[in-house]
Amino acid sequence: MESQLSILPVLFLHGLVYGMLIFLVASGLTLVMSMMDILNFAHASIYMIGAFVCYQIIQWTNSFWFALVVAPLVCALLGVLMERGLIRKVHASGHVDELLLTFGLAMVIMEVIKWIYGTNPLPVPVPRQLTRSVQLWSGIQYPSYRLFILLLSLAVLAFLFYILKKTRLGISIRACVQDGEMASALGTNVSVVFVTVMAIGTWLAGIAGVIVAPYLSVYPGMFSDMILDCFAVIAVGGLGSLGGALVASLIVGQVQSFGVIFLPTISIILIYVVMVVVFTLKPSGLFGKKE
Amino acid sequence: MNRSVQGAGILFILILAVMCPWFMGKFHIYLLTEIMIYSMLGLSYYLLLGHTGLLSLGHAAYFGIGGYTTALFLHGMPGVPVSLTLLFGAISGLLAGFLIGSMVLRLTKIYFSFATLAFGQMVWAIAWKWRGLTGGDDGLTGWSAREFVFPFLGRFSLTHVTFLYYFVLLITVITIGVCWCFTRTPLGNTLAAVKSNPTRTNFLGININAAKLMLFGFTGLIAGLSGSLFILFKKMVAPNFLDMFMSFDVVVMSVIGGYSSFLGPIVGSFVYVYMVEYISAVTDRWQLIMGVFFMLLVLFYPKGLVGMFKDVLKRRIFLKRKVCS
Repeated sequence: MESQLSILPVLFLHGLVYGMLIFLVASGLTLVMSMMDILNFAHASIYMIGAFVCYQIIQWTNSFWFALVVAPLVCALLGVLMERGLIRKVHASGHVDELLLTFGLAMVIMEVIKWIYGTNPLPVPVPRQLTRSVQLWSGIQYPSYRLFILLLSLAVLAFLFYILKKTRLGISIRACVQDGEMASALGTNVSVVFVTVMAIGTWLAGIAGVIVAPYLSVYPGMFSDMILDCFAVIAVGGLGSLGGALVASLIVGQVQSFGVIFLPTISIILIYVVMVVVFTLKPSGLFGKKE
Repeated sequence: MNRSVQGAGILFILILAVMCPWFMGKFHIYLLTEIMIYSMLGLSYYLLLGHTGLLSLGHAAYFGIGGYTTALFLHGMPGVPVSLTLLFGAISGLLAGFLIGSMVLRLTKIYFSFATLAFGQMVWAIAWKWRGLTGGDDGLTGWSAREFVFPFLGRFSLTHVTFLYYFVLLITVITIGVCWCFTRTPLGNTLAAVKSNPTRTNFLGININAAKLMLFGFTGLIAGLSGSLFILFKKMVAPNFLDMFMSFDVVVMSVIGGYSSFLGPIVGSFVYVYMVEYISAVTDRWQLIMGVFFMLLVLFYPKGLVGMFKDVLKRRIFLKRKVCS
C-alpha cells in the first residue's frame, strides 16, 4: 500500500509534464481555430516535423540546444508558408474546403516523413546535462529531463501570456479572436495578425516537438496521438480561450497519466468519454464563448 | 443532359454491370464488388456532407458497427440465416446513427467535425479493447463456409465471387435508388435547405434537429448495410474497419469524385480503388501520390471529377450552340 501511495505524486508529475506538452501544441491550434474558423489538421503535423527536424539536426551537429533553437523556427516558417500558400487560397470557399485541404496536407506530410525516415521509432538521446535523476523528496527520484520539460513549457507559457496580455500585438490578437470583422473595421490588419498567430502557434508546436523527441522518441504515429489529444483539449476547454486550453490540457494530461495505471483496459477510451460528456453537456466547452 | 439521355446512360451502365462477369477476370469482379460496397458507404456520406453540409470525420463508426454486428451473428450463432444477419447489421447502423446523431446534431461546423471524430474513435477503441466480444486486434473470422439459402434459386457459397458480385450489385442498385428518392422527398428538401441556410430554415417553422436526426438514422442504416456486406466480402472483421483512417478514406473517395454531387462518391470509389490497386503495384508510396492528388483536387477543383466532367460537357454543348447560331 505504501508503494501504491508513493507513486501518486510521480503520476501527477507525469500528467503535468504531458499536459504542458499538449498545451504547447493545442494553444496555437485553438487561437488559429477561433480566429479563422479553421480546423487545422496540419498543426499536429508541424509538431511532428519539429520532432523530426530535431532528430536530423542532432544527427548532423550532435547538439540538442542548437536543435531547440532552430527546429521551432523552421516550423514557424513552414506555418507561415502553409497559411500564405495554401489556407489563404481556399478561405473564400468555406470551412469544408479548408478542413479538407489541411487534412490532405497532414496526410501528405505524414507520407513524406514515412518515406524519408521509415515507420520505426527513432531514438533521440537526452542531452548530457539532463541525464541524471533528481531527488525530489525522500525516496522519490524524478528524471531531470522531465523537470526540464516542465520548466521550459512554464517559461513559454509565461511568455505567451505576456504577449497576449501586455503587448499591442496581444491586444490585436484578442480583438480578432473576439470579433474579427469588428477588429478589421477598426483598422486592425487581420490578415497580418493571423499570419503572426500562425507563426507563433507553429513555433510553439515546434518547441513541443523538439522537447518531446528525447522523451517519447520520434515516430510517424506522433501525429495521430497528438491531434486527438489536441481535439480533446479544444473540446473540453472551448474555442478561443487560452486559459481554458491550459486547464483542459492539464485535465487531459492527468487523465492519460492516471488512466494508464489505474484503468489500463479502458484508458484509451477515457479521453473520448471526457470529450463526449463535455460535448453533450456544454457544446461550447468549459470556458468557451457561446456561439 | 435531358432525361432520356440520362435514362439511357443508367440503363447502359446497368447492362454493362450485369454483363461484367462474362468478360472480366475474377480479379476485376472482386475489385468491382469492393467498389460497389464503398459507393454505398460513400453515398451515405454524400447525404451528410454534400446534401446537408455536415462534415463528419467518424463515418466509419456506422460502417464498422454494422460489420461487427453481422460478424457477431455469423460468428456466434450459426443458425441465423446470412440474409438476416445483413438486416441486423443495417438495423444496428440505424440505431448507432440515431444514438450518435442525437448527441452531435446541435453542433455546427468544426465542432461537429471533431465530435464525430471523437465518437468514431470511441467506437474504434471499444472494438479494439473489448477482447471478449470483438476479438480485439485479431478481429473475428470463420464464416467463409456460410451459404446464402434462397427459396427457389438454391444455395450459394460466400466464396463464390460471381454470386457475391451479383448480390452486392442488386443491393447497391436498390440503395442508390432509395438514396436518390430520399433526396427528392420533403425530408430531403428540408435537409438541402438546412445546408443553404439553417437559420432561415428554422424560422420557416421547420424542426432542423428532428430532420437531422432522421438523416443520421438513414445514413447509419446505409453505412451499416455496406459494412455488413463488406465483412461478408472480406470474410473477416477487424478494428481497422472502423478506425479514423477508414473514415478518412471515405472522405478521400468523396472528394475525388466530388463531394457535392450525387454521383461523386460512386465515381470516387471507382477511381480510388483502381488507383490504389494500380499505383500500389508500381510503388510503395501510393498514399503519398493519393494525398497529393487529393490536395490538388481540393485546391484547384473542389467539385471533383464529376464536377470536372460536367463542366467539360457544358462547355462543349455551349460551343456547339454557338456554331449553330
